[in-house]
Amino acid sequence: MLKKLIKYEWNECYKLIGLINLVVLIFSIIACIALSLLDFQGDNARTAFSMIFTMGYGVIYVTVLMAASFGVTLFIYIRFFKNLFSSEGYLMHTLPVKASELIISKLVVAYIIHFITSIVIVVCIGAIVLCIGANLTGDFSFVRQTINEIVSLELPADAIAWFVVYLVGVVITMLISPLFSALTGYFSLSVGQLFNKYKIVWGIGVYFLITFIVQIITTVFVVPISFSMSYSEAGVFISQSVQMMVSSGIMCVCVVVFYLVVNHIVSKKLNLE
Amino acid sequence: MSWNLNNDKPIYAQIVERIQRQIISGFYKAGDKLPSVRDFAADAGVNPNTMQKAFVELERSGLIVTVRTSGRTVTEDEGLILAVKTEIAKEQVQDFLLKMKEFGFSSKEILDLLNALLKEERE
Amino acid sequence: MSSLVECIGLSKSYTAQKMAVSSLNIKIEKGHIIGLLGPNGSGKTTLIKMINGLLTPTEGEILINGYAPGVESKKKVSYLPEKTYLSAQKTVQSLLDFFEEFYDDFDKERAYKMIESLKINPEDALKTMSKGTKEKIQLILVMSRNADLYVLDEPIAGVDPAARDYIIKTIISNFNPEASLIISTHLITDIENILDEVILIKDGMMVEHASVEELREREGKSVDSYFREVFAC
Repeated sequence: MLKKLIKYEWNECYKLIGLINLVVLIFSIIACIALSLLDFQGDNARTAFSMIFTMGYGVIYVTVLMAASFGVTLFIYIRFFKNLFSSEGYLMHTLPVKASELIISKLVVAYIIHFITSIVIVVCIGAIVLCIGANLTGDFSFVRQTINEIVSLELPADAIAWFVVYLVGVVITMLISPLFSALTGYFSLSVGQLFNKYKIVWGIGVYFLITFIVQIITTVFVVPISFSMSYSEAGVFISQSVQMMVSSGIMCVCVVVFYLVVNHIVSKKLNLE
Repeated sequence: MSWNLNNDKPIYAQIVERIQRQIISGFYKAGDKLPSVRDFAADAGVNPNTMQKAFVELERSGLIVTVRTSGRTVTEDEGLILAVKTEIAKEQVQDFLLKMKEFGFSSKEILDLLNALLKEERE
Repeated sequence: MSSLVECIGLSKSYTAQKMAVSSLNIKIEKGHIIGLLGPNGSGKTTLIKMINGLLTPTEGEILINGYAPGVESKKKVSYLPEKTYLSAQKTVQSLLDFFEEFYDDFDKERAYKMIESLKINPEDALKTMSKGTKEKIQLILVMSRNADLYVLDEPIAGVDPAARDYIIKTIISNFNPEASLIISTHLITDIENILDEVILIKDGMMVEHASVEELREREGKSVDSYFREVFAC
């Protein structure tokens, strides 16, 4: 049943997500093309135009990226609410499936959606950075040079070790954060359902509240760590790594807690209009 | 529904009556195959269990017979159909006579009235 | 022999003061068409939601074929909610596919036949259809399942008389003596002839559970008239 639910969920979502990503791609391609034509190092009208255009387009592009990212997150929340807590809920909750299967199918697809969108954004930004570099240095040879410089850096072994730990922390955070993002929304909407009136408003309120609380908790744990480490090269990495570990640990705990609460509310406390 | 059933009284009795009428009037002839309980029920807009009850009643009276392979048919026994027809006719006449007596008509007056009306119909 | 549906001391309260449903003890056997009758707010919808696992009881139990409402019971219960619960963007075809995918007992052929006889194009989206047609489609989907229990919440309300006749005919034609059907409705006159039994609910409590024919003989009136008496304001 879970596979069927995932397949159904994906079919309902892929069109809009594809559209959002397509928009990002189009704006990125335009940026890259523009970068190959602009000139920042001259002294003439063309340079002036390039500057102005870049600033203007830069604002537009950043807005597009933010809108895409926000749009995807919002879509995931709205989809959850609409499918499980509005009249469609009468269809979904009378299917011979468990509440956990309903929730997990949505998490899986939300995860895939986040993943795809993130990749697209990263690739697009990467492409634009490369294009900027090519524009400023004439061609793409700076890429090889930069890689060589990084590789030939000499750092003490323990710094490198902690750097690796840091990277692991980053990766874990990246892997968990789509779940965390989705579940924060699911949690808020589900808790909002417990109220008799203004369920959505309560849901939004809970969202801000819980985000705030998680921030506070994370800060409380992280700030002392950042103050307690020395400022050697290793020290910086140690501090960052530990911070990263702590915040990803908090995220994991939240993911588990949010999931359990959502599952409980959906299976035991459901009350559709 | 087209059957015009009266909700104030038990339905199955009304159904029995109606099917009896259909049989004695020749709408369903002797030996005719009848629609299934469910089709009848759907047509009448009644519960199939109620329709079943009516059929059981009609079977008991012999008007309908169940043939194992081909479902329900009207009885081949024309004599029985005639007997039922006569019985029902008798009831109708008795009701009529009772009403007429209530209005104050004598037997002779009733007969004269009947003859006059029947004569009119012939013309 | 255990009943198809059994409510044992079933209660539901949303607040401490108000009991939506209180200590219901009901047994429903298979092979019956049962009318669930009661005014708005009497607890009918609460009971129906509990049968379908959409609401958890505060006290007591509800069993469908011996199972508490859950995955097993949902396999055997086919529910038609009162509202339009299908997304308007969907085409009839996608709904047929959906039901076939998730319900093992869904008879797609039967559904197709009914839809074709109504001259509906399966590729049409629900939003292009009139309310009456949408209601018919929702009913067809529900009745095309070979379930043990069908629960229809106000299947003929807000629909023109011809569509009502169609819906009633569809319910009768798809009747399965191994299953039971619960109809919750206000429009008693139209539907009382297809009911075997009625359950009358008032203020969350069961007032009567009787066969229709018995009721008519006993009271000498239609169920509709009797209802008006019982629930007179």
